[in-house]
Amino acid sequence: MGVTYVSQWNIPEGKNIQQGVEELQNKAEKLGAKKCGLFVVECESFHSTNAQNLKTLHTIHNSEYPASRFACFEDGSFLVTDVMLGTFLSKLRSVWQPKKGGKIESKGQRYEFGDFIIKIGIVSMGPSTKGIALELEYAPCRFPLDCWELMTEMLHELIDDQAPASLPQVIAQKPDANLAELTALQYIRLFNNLRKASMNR
Amino acid sequence: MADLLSQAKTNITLLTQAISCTQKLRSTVTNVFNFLCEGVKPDEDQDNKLEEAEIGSLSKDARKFLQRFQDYLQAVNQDYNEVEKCCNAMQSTTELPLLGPLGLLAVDPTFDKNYFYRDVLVAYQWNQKMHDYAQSSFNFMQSNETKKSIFPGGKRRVRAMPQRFQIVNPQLIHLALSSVQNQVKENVVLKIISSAGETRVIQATVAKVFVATILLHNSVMEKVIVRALSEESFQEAGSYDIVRDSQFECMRRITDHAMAAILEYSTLHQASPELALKYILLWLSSYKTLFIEKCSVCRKHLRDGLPPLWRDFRNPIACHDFCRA
Repeated sequence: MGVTYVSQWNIPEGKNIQQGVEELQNKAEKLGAKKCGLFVVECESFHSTNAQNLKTLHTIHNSEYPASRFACFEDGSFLVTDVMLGTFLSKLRSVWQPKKGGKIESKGQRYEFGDFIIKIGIVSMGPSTKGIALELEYAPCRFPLDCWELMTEMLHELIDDQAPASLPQVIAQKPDANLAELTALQYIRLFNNLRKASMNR
Repeated sequence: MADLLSQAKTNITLLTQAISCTQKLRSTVTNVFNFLCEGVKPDEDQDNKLEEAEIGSLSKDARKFLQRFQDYLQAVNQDYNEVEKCCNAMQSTTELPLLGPLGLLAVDPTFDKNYFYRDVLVAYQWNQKMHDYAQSSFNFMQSNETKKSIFPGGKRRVRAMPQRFQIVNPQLIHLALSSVQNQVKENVVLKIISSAGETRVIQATVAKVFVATILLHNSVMEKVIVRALSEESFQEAGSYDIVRDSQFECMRRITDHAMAAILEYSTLHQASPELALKYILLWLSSYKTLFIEKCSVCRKHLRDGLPPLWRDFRNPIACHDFCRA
């Protein structure tokens, strides 16, 4: 439950997603990271049936928080609930309806290196794969601004030129927010970007 | 402490005296009643004798009887005076904080069956004597120093003094803690979690980095555990966890360093444990930049996935464990 950075990893040219994932996994293993189970982050989006209020609601299920579900409205409000959120939303079908093609997930291998947790996942929407998601978590620290430099150093070692130059916008906007919220928001942003990219294709 | 012990000792001797006096008194009183029961002659009972004494016409036997009766009564009086003397000489022992909670053993009714407290007192006295002896012999050796090292600049080994039982007033420890807190208040927040007898659990939160749990016996540090802020320090039952290590590698390593620091500072400041506690807290406060500061040797944040975890005991600059070699 530490500071988390989530981003898309651009696959080098001439490689498919599977080869890209293997390359990234090899890099992590070369650093000294050890395999430590699997992870999954699922996102389901809903849209409001009210024509005047066309807001989108994203619900996130993260295997790191098995007993919680996160709900995020587009206007920025955020909710942490228990596992009954899905059942509750299905009862509210008249207000919130699942978006078509709204289910997207990132699934893959989880690595541990020192106190870092590295998650390399394949993002897929139904049967089609969309890209590779990389999540880096530094567990002992709870303050993103404090350990950001330390995390950038790790990211440089892991993904070289694809490491971010500055603090992600989501974290920079609310550095004191709940860490689970920051993770979920970054995933939602990543999934939205991937969805848009696949629509433009 | 020594006068308290001597006071207790005199009280104990007075008590034994009083007990023997009471036994004497009981036997003399029994003698009086036996004497009265036997009487001298069937027609010479006590009342008759008294009446006769008043009118001044006593028979020979009656006079003898009265004489003996008076002797017996005088003996009773004497014994009673002695018991009273012992009682008055005894001092109140309610304010005796003898050996801390061990003093409760002294009022335990089963004390008559076992001799814990007596043995403890003897052990305490021996310890005090040994310490005094060590102190005086150390002073003597200092004045007659002989150099035994074959190296020209060889330093003399400082031997640790034998440990002394400490009995410290809890208020003094609280005062010492609050003064230490004032000195390190910028980076460390101290909180007393629980105290049982002379053992206290203190929680020191260092900036936004970690929580150090320090186990204090009187004012001597016994153990330290460093855990991340996100880790739960209380067990499910509500008691404070003083056993479990942190789940994070870096915090476990800092715990090891902190244990070493405790040994270092406690040996250096044996005479004043409060000073050692202060130095430990100052040293711990140097970790406030754990995630921010780079290693002073390799100028990097990470080595083997860990930030610079080592802080020197005298000059606490950030450094990786393997960079200090």
